[in-house]
Amino acid sequence: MKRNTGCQSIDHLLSRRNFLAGTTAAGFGAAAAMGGFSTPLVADTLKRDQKRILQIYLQGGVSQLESWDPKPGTEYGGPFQTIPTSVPGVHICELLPQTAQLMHHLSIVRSINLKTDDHHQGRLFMEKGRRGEGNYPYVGSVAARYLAPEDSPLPSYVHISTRGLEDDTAAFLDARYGQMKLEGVASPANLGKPGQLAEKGFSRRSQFRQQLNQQFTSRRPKAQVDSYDASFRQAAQLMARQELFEKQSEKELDRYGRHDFGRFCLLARTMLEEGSTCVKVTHHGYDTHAENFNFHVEQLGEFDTPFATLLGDLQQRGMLESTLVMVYSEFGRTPKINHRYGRDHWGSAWSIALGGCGIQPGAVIGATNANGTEVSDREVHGGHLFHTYLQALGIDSTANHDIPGREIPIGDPAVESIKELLA
Amino acid sequence: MNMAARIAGLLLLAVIAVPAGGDEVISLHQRVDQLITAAQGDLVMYASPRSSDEEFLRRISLDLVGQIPTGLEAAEFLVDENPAKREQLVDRLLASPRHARHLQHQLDVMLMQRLPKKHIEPAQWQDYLFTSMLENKPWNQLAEEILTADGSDEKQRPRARFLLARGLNFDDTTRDIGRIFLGRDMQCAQCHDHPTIEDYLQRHYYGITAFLKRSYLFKDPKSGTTSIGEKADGDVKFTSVFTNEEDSTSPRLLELSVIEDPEPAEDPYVTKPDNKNRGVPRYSRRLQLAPNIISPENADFRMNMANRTWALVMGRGLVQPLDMRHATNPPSHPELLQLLADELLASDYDLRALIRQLVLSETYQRSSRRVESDQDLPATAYLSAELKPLTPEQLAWSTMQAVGMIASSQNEQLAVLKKDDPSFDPDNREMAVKLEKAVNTALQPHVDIYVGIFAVKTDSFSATASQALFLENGELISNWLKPAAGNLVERLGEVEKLELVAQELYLALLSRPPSSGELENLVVFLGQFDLERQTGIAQATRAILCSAEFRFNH
Repeated sequence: MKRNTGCQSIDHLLSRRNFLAGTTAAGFGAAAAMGGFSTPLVADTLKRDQKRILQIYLQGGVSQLESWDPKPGTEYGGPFQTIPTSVPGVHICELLPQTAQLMHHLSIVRSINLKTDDHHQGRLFMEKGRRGEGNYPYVGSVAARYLAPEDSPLPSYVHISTRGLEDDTAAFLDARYGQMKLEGVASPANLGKPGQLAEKGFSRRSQFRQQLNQQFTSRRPKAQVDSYDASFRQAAQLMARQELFEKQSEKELDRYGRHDFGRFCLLARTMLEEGSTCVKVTHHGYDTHAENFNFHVEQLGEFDTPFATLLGDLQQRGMLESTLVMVYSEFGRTPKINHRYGRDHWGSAWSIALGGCGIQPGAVIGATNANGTEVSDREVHGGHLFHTYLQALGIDSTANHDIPGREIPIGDPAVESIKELLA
Repeated sequence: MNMAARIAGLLLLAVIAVPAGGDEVISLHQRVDQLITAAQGDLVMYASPRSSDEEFLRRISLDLVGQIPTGLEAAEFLVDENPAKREQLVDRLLASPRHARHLQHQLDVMLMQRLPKKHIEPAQWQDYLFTSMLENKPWNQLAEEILTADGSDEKQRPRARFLLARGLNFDDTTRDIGRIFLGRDMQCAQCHDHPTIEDYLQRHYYGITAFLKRSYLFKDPKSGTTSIGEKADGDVKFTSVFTNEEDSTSPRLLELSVIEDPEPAEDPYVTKPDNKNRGVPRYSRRLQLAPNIISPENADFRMNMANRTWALVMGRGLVQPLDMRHATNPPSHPELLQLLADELLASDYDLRALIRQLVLSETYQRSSRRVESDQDLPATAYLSAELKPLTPEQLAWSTMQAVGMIASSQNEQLAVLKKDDPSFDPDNREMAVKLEKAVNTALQPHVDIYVGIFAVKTDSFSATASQALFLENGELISNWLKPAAGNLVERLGEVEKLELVAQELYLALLSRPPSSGELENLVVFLGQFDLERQTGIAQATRAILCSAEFRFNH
């Protein structure tokens, strides 16, 4: 397999870099041809106006130095150079050539300090905007709660991933705003009708169930039964749309790539188009304690094309204005390079990229010092970012959640959004 | 085996004197009805009639033993003409080991909120709860055991799960002690006085933390087991993120007196903490927590449990949400809450006795169908019974009851037990417990699947597409609906007349006979499957399992 955690020589590394340079040109050409500047396709107005989130979660902690905050030629800078982007004056790491061309749709926050180097704690802080294990919903569930239409045909919050932990994302919000986990592009569990049951049998059964419910609901409180009914309607709609999963267009796969992350990004586009409010795609494998540079060549090489293709497609289809795009991790990686050419966990000075709905494009917020060892300007943490995501989507994150009898502030009341990042 | 005595005690409690005017003696459940009716005022004209026997049977079974009755039990109850049959049923269900099992499920979720395994096997903790409920252990005693346990004594280790599963994390534990034992969720007060709730103060939060702050997790280097040690010093300081004011506190429960440390001893330790030894101080702040929480001085403890027990039975708290009792969210019926809390104290925290009184009330026994009205009838008026979504455990056990899984597991386990002991008699209480344990162990893996799919953390009902897909298409239920020795589908497949099949199906699944319209519908539905009779029965069963009537306790 390609994941060799053993020692690899710098020569190997350099040859990998040449290989990368080769693909860069081709990739750049492709991106230019698909272009962010061509006439937008006519998109359905309703679809365009419904606000949503695309989360690309780089699991394990992408290195800020190999992505959004490169420091070439400095003590901890590593072997890679920077490249200019479509935003004059903004440079990012050369491992992201196609993304660089779409940088005018994105902004970077370079000054995150979570004060934790723990995967779990970092992830919770980035998702919930609160430190620790407290019972708060993830940003995806909050968005689903306040943005998803009542009759949303697809689950409002889906997570496309091949492994990883079951998250309790909805906390005190209604379970239907919780994340539905998709094992890659496979259908959700139990989507297929049981064995011998023909289409006809199923619809008979459905009708019979509805008869029963009608009888039951008479003079009983409707809300709970309605919500129960809705879950069956949504299940039926998913069953009817089984083709969304598994079968993906060959032509589109040519553009996105046939590896997992390419397929996941294509499915993410479909789910967003079909009406999901938050789609999270996890790209695994950034926890590079050894061979950080090799792994970032591989990982970001796999990331760059599908991500840029997806971002470009959202823009072309008129969906970017209504889609908040987040590229994030649970933390970054140590500036100091360890003896295995690795970088370790580092929550105290790292970066994410944001774009789309409500986000000022082309901005760079905050900075780290010359060798990247600490934040030098505009320090923020998961709490500030959480307010920023939600306010970008038009949700008043300083208000309380709409839960009877409870007053729970949506965002941490001790901090505010990053105002200058909001469009 | 003081069960008989316990039950006798329950019956006595029914007539505990509550002075009401002259010399009249009325039972607690009548007093409950008086207070509820008085508060309804003019709305009383919209009070639903008493539930039908069918409604009552299903509801009381779910509320007392966590599962629906069998079709046969339903038929027997419905034809019984004894006017005291409801009360008799209540007492029979309360005496069943399944009642202890049901309370175990409820208390487990209340106390542990389905936290994953950490240091202690959840199954051992659940067994501890089950045994406690079999003995009808008073709630104050259970609370004391749970909050005192440090996990160092191998025999009593399971009860330390409350603290150990939270990793003795001061914030999680403080918050949960406030929520679960005092009815106050003070999460916001961790960082500042609550911005809008005047009586949730930061010092309340840290007053609880101060009981715990000197304690720590100790991993024994020899055995590798983790238990709780404590140091003889360490104080709690806190700062408001709004005002930056710093403050400190000794252990203290809300507004009760501060618990001052005694004069420090010359040698403050029984066992000095080091790498090899779990610290045991002469004076333990942590051990002050349990006696102070359960003390009669602390009215919050009994108010909280009175409210939670009410909610368990009635489907909503007198204070709602259950953990938000404060001045600006008063109880809907303050006098009633006070009465129930006093009753708990007077009965030495006998939960079963309180539950018994609540289910005997007319308030509990109202139909869940509302009286037609132009007005929006407030749920707090208790005019009709609430719809209560089945817990994952109730849903799993009821489904297994309906399809015949429990019966076949009982037969299997009984055969095994009889092989070991030919005199095994399931009517003997001790043996009934043994049989229940065997069946529970055998079926637990199925229950776990339901818990994984249906467990939610919300106050209100919610349903997801994944759950619906599981109910519609999941293999687990498909397997239960394949005809097999003595199960529902096989048994009904043998019945010739479709009308009889329909009758039995409704009794087995919904604990009631079908109405004439329903009978007709079902016969038409089954008729569509023509010769594939068993497929038709399986499909009808599945449709009913997916219906709202099955999903809710009504």
